[in-house]
This record gives sequence, structure tokens and C-alpha cells, in this order.
Amino acid sequence: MSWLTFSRRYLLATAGAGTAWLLARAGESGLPAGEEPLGALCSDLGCPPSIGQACLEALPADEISKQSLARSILGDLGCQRGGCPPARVLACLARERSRNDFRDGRIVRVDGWMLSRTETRLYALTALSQAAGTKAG
Amino acid sequence: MHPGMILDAHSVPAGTVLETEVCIVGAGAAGITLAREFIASSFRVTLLESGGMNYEPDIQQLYAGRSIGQAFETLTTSRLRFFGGTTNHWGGWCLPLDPIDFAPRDHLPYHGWPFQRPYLDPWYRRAQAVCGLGPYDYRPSRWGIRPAEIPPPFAGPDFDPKILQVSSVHFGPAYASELRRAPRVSVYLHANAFNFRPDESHAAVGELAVKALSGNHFTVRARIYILAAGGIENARLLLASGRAGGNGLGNEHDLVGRFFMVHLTYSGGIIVPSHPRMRFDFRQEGSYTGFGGKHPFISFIGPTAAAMHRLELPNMFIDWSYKFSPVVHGVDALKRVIEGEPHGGHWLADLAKVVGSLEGVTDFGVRKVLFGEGIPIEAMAVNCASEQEPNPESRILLGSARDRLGMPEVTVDWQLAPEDKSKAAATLQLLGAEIGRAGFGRFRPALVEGGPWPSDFYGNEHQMGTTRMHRDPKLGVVDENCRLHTMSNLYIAGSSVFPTGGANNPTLTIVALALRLADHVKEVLT
Repeated sequence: MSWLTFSRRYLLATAGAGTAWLLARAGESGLPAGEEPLGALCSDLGCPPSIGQACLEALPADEISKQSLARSILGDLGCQRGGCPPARVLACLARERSRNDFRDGRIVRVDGWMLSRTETRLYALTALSQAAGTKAG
Repeated sequence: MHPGMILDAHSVPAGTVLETEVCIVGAGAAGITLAREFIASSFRVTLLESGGMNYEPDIQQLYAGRSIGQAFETLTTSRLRFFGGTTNHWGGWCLPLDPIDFAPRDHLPYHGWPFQRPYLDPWYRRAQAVCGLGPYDYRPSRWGIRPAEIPPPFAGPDFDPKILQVSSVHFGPAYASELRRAPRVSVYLHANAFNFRPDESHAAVGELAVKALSGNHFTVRARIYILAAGGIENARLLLASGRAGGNGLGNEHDLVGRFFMVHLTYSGGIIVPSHPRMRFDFRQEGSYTGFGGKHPFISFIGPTAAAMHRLELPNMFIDWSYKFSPVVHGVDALKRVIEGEPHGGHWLADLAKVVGSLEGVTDFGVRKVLFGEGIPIEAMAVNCASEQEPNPESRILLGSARDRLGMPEVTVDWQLAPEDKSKAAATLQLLGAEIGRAGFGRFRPALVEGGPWPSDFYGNEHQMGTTRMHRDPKLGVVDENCRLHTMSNLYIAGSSVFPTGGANNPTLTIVALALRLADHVKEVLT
């Protein structure tokens, strides 16, 4: 993947895609009950499949499942099972956590780009959810 | 021979002995600065220049040599061998070295200068005028850059915004007439210093043998000799001097030619900013008129001293160029069409470009009018020049081949320490982390720990360190006054005396040190 492919604005997008299609399928994407806000957050990321796939490839194999990724992300964001805040709040927490990742060295190389561990997991989860949604659809 | 003119070595009768107080070898930034400082003095000065007033291929070829280490293939292109020296093609970027460049740094082998930055400030201030620059003030806030406009992390805890000033002075054309009129300064063109011969005591230079390509030769006898021939040639001439078969002058501790350093130059990576339409005009390549005249400057960033100390990093000069989205080509074309610029019949092609990117151009126009926004920025390509660690294994040697004068050609064994790459990668890692932490965007470094140098990596034309300055003769060729430890009347000017090179362009420091040396030599002669 060239940097041009990867350098599109949507690499950094955190809102605006408005993929209601994904949002509607958040509940059917296989996330544990009570973690739907995370599905909504992923749907808002506007992450194209190519980036999500690259994030999946950059993460350790034992992290690559919706359940594992969701657990890791929510755990890092301080959510208890069934106790997640709304997606809007979750987005703020995720952004803050992402910046802290950079500060504390939790950085993942994705096709050479320096991404935070939190956003890498989110993009990866988005890709998995999208794939599940496609199958379901 | 009447002093006070510009002469040609070909016209000096063979075997002539020229007597003078000060003999300067090399008419580049250092040599010309030194000579000018003696114009108002009572001392006679002889300035020897290998070339003429203009470029001559056969003279330039005297720079030829070979590279046996890390590829260093710019021996005949990075320098210019005629009156004015390399300032004849320099970019004019001027700034002092940073305070940390002078300071001891325990993580940097062979670190430290014999003095600190504040000590050199008076000469830096004078050097500003020599280089035709504005005031000796390099705080971005004094150049119309409002700190609040600099987004983090470029004004953050780990990176500092900086500026450099741009000189348009080419020392040859700028100062030739002044030297021509100077009654006690004699400039000899096509005069190649060939051999510093020690006197009977072997503690001082007795005379300097000079040759011209035509075969003519003569001798200069001076009270003081100053070698100002450049970062590589200074070492070459010392190694080639003295008795035949010896190891050169000032080389009792096998230091001459060692510690050869340059600035390591390469693409550092790509930044994708979070906001493509941000008003991010920190990097202004413009003029500032706040000091009573137009003074061009360029801004850039570098790691803070605190970050360098904390993470044991070398210094680094970081600037960038913008990669605009394709709409920029349409905007440019539209401007040409509207302004009716002569475009050699390409208006149709221009119009096609406008039509082809109509949506983008319209969008740009609307946003420019309504919101004052600029052209969308696709990305920022980061350019780096990082400091090379002083390394005794990186060196200038004499080769077996000889040039047309009969002097051994130079062999460059440029060597890098593993830390040069790993620490540069660590600096870029820090930059990427800071860009992400600050929310400025994301970074794709072109150099990572354990990886190769970027494909465009090269050692630039800032050649330094080969006659390094140190108070201890076992660690330096010259003392803090730039005099050879073992020769009472031979001094060195230029970047070859830099013990560490920092990451900033060296010419202002070269000129400041030359001014300081001139003051010192006047004291010695008085």
C-alpha cells in the first residue's frame, strides 16, 4: 500500500462518514451485549476497508476477534461490562486515550504509519464489523 | 611586488620569496573574512586562492579524490575552488549553532567545545553584518511569527520552532573590490598552497611552498599562517606538509583528518495533518520588514535541548514541503489565464486543467472568499538534516594518486556510527508520537529503528571536524584559539575545527570564528 493510498483524510476521520448502514448493524455485528455504543463509535470512524485490513494485519493474532478487540478497547476506556457511556462520550474517551497512547509509547506501525494502539484496534474492529455486516446483509 | 592588489600567481617570477605578516590560504567565507579584518591594520596580508575569479574546470578538478567508506561522491561538486569559494553557489542559510551544540553531552562521544555559545555571541553578532543579514536575533517571535499560531507539537515540550536568515552575499563578488583597494592586502589567484615547511625548530612554519598549474612556483614567508581551505582541504594540506614521507603537520596524535563529519540529509517521512484546510503558515519563506529593511528568513523545527538531554538524541534540523491536493495545479492555471501571463501558447492546456479540476477550483475559491482558507494540504513531506556523532574512524586520508600539482589526492573514508541511524530514528519516533499526541495528524517516518537509511540519504556539503578544536592535544588538532597545538604560528579557520557539528548550517559559525581568529592574530602580532 503506498502512502498516497493510506494518507487520505479518512485515515484521521473521526466523524462525518455517517454510515447508518453500519450503525444499524452494530447490534448484529457480534459485539457482546451492552457494548453497542462501541459499535456505533466504529461506524462513525469512516474507516475504509483497506485501512481496517492493514490494522488487522498489524495487531497480534490473538487480539484479532471482535470480542477480544472490544474487550481491550473498552477496558482501556474504563468501561465496565454493560456500563458503557453513549457513543459520543466514548468517542471523546477514545480520542483522549489515543493521545495518551502516543505520549506513553503505545504505538502500532500500520503500513509504516504511527497509529495509536487504541485507534488501531478501533479501525480493526470496524473492519471486522463491516465484514460481518456484509455477510449478514 | 606592490602590495595591495589582486595578482595572478602565473605572473610571479619563479623562485620569488614573498614576505608578509599574515598569509591566508583560501579565499572562501573564512579567508575573505579574515583578510577584510586586516584592511585597516598595519599588517601586510597575503591571501592565496587556488582558483581565479571564475569557475575553471581544471582547477576544480584539483578537488578530485575517491571514497572508500560510506559513499561520498560530491568531492568535486559540493565545493567551489575559485575566489569566494563555496559561497559562490551556497543557499545563504545562516544561523548560529544552538547552545547545546557547544555544551558537554555525556551521551555524545568526544563531545563539547572549549567554550560555550554566549562566549561566541559577540562574533556571531559581527558575522551577521559580514553575511549581509538582519539583527542577531533568531527568536521566531521577533520575526512576525506569533507563538500562538504555531500548532503543537512544533511549539511543544519536545520540539522548538526556529528560524534562519537567508544571505544573498556571495563573498567573491561582494568583497573583491574592497580587497583590491586595500593597500596592505595582496590577493594571489591561481596560487595553490603546496607544503607548509617547518623551520629548524620544527615548532613553527618557516615557509609555504606555492605552485600554479602552469608549473610556476614561489614561496611565502610569514609571521602567521592561516589555513582556510575548507573542511577537507585543510586536513589534506596538513597531511601533505612537512618532510616527505612524514605523517604531516600537527599530526603527532594521529588526529588530522579524523572525525570527518557532515550533516546527514534525508527524507524524514510524511505527515498527514488532521485538518487539511488549517491556517498553518508557520513556515514562511518570506521577508520580514520589522528591522528597517527586508530580511528573508525560513522557519523550521528541531528537538528541544531538554528532549535531546532526556532521550540522548543528536540535534536535528527539520523542515517540510507541502504536498497540495491536485486542485493546486488548477488554481495555478486559473491564475495564469486570468492574469494573462505569457504562457507560450499553453493557455488551452491551462484552461483544460481548470476545467478538469473545476469542482476543486470552485470549492477553493468559495472557501477562500468566505472563510479565508488556503489550498487543501494533502500531506507534508518532512526533510531532515541530523547531527553526525564525532567518530575517529571517519576520516580524510591521502591517496596514492596525485593531482596535476603533484599533491596526493584525497581519500574519504566516511564512516557512520550505528547510533547515527538509531538516534535519528528515535528522533523521528518522538516527532511521530508528538504529532499524534498533539492531535496535529499522523506521521509515517521514513527511517525506523533497525531499518535502512531512506533511499535519498546522503552526506551533505557541510564538511567538518577534520582538524578539531580541543584544549587537550591528544583530543584535538588545534587549541581553543584555533592554533595547531604543535606549531606556534599556524592557525586553522573553517568548519574543520568544529568538534561537534550540530545540525545547523555552518557558515555563520565559520565567519564568527574567523572574526574571532582575526582579533586573536592581531593581538599576537602586536
